[in-house]
Amino acid sequence: MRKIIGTLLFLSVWWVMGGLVACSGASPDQPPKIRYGEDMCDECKMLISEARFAAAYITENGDVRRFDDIGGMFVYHQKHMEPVARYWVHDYKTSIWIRGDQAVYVHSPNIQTPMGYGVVAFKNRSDAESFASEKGGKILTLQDLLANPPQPMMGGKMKMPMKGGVTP
Amino acid sequence: MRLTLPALLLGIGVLVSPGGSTVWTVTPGGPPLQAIIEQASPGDTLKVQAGSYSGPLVVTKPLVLLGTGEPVIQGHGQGSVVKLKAPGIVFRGFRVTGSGNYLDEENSGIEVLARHILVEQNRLDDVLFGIYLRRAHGSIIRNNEITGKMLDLPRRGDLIRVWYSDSVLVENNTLRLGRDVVLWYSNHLTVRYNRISGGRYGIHFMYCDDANIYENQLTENSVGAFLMYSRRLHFYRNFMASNRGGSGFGIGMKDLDDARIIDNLFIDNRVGIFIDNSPREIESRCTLKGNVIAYNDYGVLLLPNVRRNLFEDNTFLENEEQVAIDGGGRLVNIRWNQNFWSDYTGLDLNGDGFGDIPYASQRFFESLMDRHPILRLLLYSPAVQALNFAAKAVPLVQPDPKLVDSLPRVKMVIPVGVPAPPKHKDPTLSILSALLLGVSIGFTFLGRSRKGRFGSIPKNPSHKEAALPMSERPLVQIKHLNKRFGSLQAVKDVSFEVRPGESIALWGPNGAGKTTVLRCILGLYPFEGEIYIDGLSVREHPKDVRQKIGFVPQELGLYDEMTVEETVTFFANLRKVSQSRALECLCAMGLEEHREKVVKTLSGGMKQRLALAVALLSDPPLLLFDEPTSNLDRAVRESFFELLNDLRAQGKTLIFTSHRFEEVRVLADRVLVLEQGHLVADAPPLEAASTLGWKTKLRLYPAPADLARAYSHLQAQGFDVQQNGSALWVWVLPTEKMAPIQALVDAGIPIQDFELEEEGGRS
Repeated sequence: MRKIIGTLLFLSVWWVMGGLVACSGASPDQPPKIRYGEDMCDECKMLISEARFAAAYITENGDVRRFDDIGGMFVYHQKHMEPVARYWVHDYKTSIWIRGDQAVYVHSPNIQTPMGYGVVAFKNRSDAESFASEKGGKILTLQDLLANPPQPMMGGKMKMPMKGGVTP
Repeated sequence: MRLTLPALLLGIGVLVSPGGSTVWTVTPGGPPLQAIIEQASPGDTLKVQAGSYSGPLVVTKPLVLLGTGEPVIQGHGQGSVVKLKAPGIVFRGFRVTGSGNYLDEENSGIEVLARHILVEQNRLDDVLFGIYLRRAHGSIIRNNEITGKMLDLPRRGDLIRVWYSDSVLVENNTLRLGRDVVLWYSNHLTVRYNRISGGRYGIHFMYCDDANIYENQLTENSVGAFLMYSRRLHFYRNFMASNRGGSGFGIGMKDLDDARIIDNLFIDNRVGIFIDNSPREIESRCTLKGNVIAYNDYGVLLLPNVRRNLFEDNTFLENEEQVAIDGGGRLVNIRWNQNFWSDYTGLDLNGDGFGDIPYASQRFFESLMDRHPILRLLLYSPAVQALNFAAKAVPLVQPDPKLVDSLPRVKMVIPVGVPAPPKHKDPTLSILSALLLGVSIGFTFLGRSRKGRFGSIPKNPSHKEAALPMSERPLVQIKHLNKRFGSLQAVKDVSFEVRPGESIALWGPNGAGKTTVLRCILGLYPFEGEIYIDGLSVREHPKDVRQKIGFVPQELGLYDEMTVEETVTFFANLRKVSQSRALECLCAMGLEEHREKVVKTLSGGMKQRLALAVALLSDPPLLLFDEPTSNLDRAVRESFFELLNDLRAQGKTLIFTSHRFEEVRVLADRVLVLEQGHLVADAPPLEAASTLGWKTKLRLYPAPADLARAYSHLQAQGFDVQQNGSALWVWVLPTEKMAPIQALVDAGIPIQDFELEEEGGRS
């Protein structure tokens, strides 16, 4: 009798939970919503506060990953290697969403970003080139950053070289 | 009063001291403050009287700027208000207000842009960024009150930002309405006694190794402290409460190596402690010990990849979920030992203070919540309670335990020394704190009743040992110390404690017992009473204790014929310390260029540095000095003070004997006054000076024609004055050295010269 009651209770709660857990996938063609000051970055777990540095990607399953720093997105992707349907970043000049594959990126140790990766994105190449010239930065593409995710910068050098390997 | 040419041109009052430095008195309505700054020479003092002055101020030479009556530096909403650009500037006693609003320009109240700058006792308000340090190594930010602009949180600036600045001390500041306190790319920081509320990240560390963060209150921020990408952070006795914003962590630990999180209080946060990828390196581990984690939604939230952490002697009290794994799964290679768990249901039949069966965290619904956090909505529903009950009854659906603590405590432990909760109009914190205390008593009683109900069984001695005071203990504890040499009782019933990071002066005349106390601490003399160093008895564990102490004696005991390098190598071999560590210590003391020199050719100051390098070889937490600067001239003394203050900023604990008030004032947090072996006072330096009536002797030289008049005037003003040849000797409190000079100047009696003869002499 106790087993039957337990099983029934388990099934009833499971049904309620199923309803809560189930959620619809996001469309890759629409930039995801970020609640600034409330949503956490999937990579560093800090709050996402400034749109111009924020980024996101939508997986082929419709899951959304959000980041407070464009550099953090590439680091996260390298760790998890999820199939991605679309990358989204913000134009540094206007803070509007732009597609990650259409953006022009600038990388420089002289750009202060929330997690110190020093990467920002532009919609227009001329804006990117002008900013790169001002900050002594390099122009990069999405493919460049996916192939070589940026490292946090410290005076132009990578900070914190690892000793004895990383956590397995 | 003598007027210099620039002063004449500006029409303001100045006083020239014999050393050539000038004291300028600046009043509102006079020439612009910036113009006076331009005219002043390095080393001059500007006494700025109450009133309003227009910013921005830019200081490019080492000046002392002292506000009297809190003069206001007004930025008028443009740019940064004050920029300090030269080493050694002192900026004290001002109100700084009205910076610009541009985040990109990082408009600040005060920018600190050079080494060894002291910014203290200022009030900053209506500023975007508060105090912003860039490459300001060795600077001190102390006793400031900073309130940000009333802006939305993302548009605010950081009320303190430390950027590429090593060995900075951030102490006893009160911060409200900022974004973060940011400390990036800076090593050997000390952050203590600060109160930070209403911001985003109370403290945000990135790329900062070897910092000490202690006794801060971090309340009602989004996150209390977010510590990232750093090594060897020591975070202890902090109070994190009601940090419930987006992330809502009391403390977030990401990619930390060898962090020590000790004796902190985490109350009413969304997550007490969050851990992601810490430690990061294979050879490191993080230690979380002696913390109280109470009434949080999650006590500890870990990512499944977290390994090699030790959780020991912590108290987990009534968190909605004591330990959760973000995304579900099992924890591997994390040690849980001797923690108190308020949901532990076992008994302590033998009364040894530890439960008889292990604590296992094994709730069915929790394992589901870890995978699907949205299910927390159902947490208190009857269905879930029934589900947990059913899972217990049906072992098939029972999850694997998340963690097992094989020796759980049955009594909770509350660390001492944590700052009290702030008074607040929202009574939640006070209620929770009271609840914590009440529950503490309750559980203690429960522990006793459990024992009483089943009869008392003799305690297991090993458990008793383990239950002794833990990491919250002071670094040095001396109880009823007595030392007798034949018929002479040199030390009589002396008791005191020294907390980690404190600097203590043992003060007294020759024969007072100062050196004897040091030698007892070192275990060089047998004694009566108890001395514990880091919880170890000096008598029972002399070798282990010695490893924790570096000692610099008055007579240095170096070998004259050895070179500097041979000396440190010799002592490094004796102490089994690596050659690289020996060279590191030499470099830290600025002796790398002198490594080939023979000891007998060194100056007194360099010998002292060498002795200190030897004392630091084993990186001891406690340093003892016997009259550290007695053989040094004034200039060398001051550079040695800087060195010792750097060690303090790195978290070393100092105990030194002294009879110089100058030394005590610069180095000590507390003075312990010994008289004929008795401890007669224990107070901060200035308080001790006032209480004990220590006097500094000034020699004043008025013009010969004014000598009698000056003497009479000072006597009439109540000064302790005596005429001696062409000079007047005046004894004053160390904090009032200017008073007799000012009195004479006010009476129109000029002083041609003065000398500071001795400090702390006459009482």
